[in-house]
Amino acid sequence: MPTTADAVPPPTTGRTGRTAVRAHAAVRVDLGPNGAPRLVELRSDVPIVLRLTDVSPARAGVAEGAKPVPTMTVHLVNGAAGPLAGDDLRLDISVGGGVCLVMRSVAATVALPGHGPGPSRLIVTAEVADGGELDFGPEPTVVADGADHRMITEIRLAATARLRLREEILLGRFGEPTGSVLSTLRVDVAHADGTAGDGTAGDGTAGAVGAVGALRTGGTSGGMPLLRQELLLGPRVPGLRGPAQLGGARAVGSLLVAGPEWAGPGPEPAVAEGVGRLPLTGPGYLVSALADDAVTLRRLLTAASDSAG
Amino acid sequence: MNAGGEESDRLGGGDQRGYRDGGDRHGPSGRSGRRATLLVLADGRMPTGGHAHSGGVEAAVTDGSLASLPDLAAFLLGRLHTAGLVAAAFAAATCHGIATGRTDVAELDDELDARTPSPAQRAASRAQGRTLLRAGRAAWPVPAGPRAPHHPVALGMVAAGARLAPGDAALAAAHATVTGPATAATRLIGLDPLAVTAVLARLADDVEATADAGEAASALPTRELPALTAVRLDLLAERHRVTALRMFTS
Repeated sequence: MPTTADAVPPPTTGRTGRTAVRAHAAVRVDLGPNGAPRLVELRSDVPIVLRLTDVSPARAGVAEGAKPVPTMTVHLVNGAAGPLAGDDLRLDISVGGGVCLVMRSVAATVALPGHGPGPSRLIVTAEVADGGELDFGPEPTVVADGADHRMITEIRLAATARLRLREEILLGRFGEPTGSVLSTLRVDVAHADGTAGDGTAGDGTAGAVGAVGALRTGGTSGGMPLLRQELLLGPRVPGLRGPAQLGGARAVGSLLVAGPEWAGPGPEPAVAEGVGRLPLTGPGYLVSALADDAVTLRRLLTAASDSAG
Repeated sequence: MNAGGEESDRLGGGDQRGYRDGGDRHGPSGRSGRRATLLVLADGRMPTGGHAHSGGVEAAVTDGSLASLPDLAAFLLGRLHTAGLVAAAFAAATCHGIATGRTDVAELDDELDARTPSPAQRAASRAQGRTLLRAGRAAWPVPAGPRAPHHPVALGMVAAGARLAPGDAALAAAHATVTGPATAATRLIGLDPLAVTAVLARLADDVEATADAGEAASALPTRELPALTAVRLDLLAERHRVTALRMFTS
């Protein structure tokens, strides 16, 4: 049966397939001494190419109600096709206090089959310090026929950090059966007096690509789990097309919004055709949506979030 | 705990934790009988709250996606391999944690909150957990813990109180994942009860495999325990809560 374990064979050592790529990219921003956002590190590693596309320092006179948070925008550029089977990609993100990092991608990612051993893999880790904000909204991941793709996203938020995280998955290219994908999302929020997720990124050079060790050493003491979610999709997933999982949908997506303003009651739960806004136990809410296509999916996710207040 | 990151996604080493003290299952230890009692307590037909919950079936009937026996079979399969695996892993982890004193039950309960984004599902799970604990405490010396834990945590607590093994808790959890909704479907759309029983019988191997997988996964660090999600179940649960006319609580 397709359990998490089946879809995630342990990382192999000595991966030597000719087509396999390993890459470890990183972006770190914080607040510079002059009050402007500062790019501490922007490390591309093909095929993960990072481009700083916008900087907007805080200015007095920002519209009423909006907090003037100095913002940096970084775009992900796919420097090669894929990921292909066997590729092992990692992106580490660190956001300091008082700044907002907006991350986007210029195009959809197409996970493809290939000749490499094991699944293709993309690991994203992020730490956001108190008062910092991360808005991570890449374009969809398209799971091509025959692909076997693994996505792991691990995020640690300080008590007053904010997060907006969008994930969209399309099952196959147009008119094509879907490949397999397992996407794992783990988000933790530190307690106000805790130490977890205080924004001190681990040694950026530590560990092999694929290890998430730096994020685990702190355990969850001093923090709470905000969201744990594994989405397993593929042609052999039991009951996938049944009424409990996807029905006939070809696009699956979620939008996680977290921040101190959502502690306590949070937004009202809301549900409409193909979409639900789900207040979490912790300080945040999840919009979860199903659609026939990417455009509808994006519209559902955006509308449910916009109406949250 | 795991030694390092490279091990992060590997399952635990299986059942090498010595839950053989219950003796032979056919012996005089009474474990078979306790296991049977646990399964009855977990069953949707018992007055432990399960009979009031359809696990999303009623909402699926209402939206037209569950109208026939094949629909029900697909629904149950999808629920078992997502929510069922999570429930089995947490029931086993709770039972194991109590037996060994190594895992905090409240921490497992928090982790289930993080795996249950739907408020309606959280409420349904805790309501059933609370009533199951009451029934379990009438039968066995169930250890102290949260008053209204999530249902899988309650199952693990009750199993521990009955001196059963984590695998027994996992089996009860996987079993309950399909029996409650199946019973609800019988009542809601007038399916032939014998045909529904046949659907459940055909799922028996999947139930056992899910229980085994859940038990094996329960050795993982708590944050890495299974978290498989079924998107429509989340949406159905929320839709059901705002439905005016309904037979089941969830």
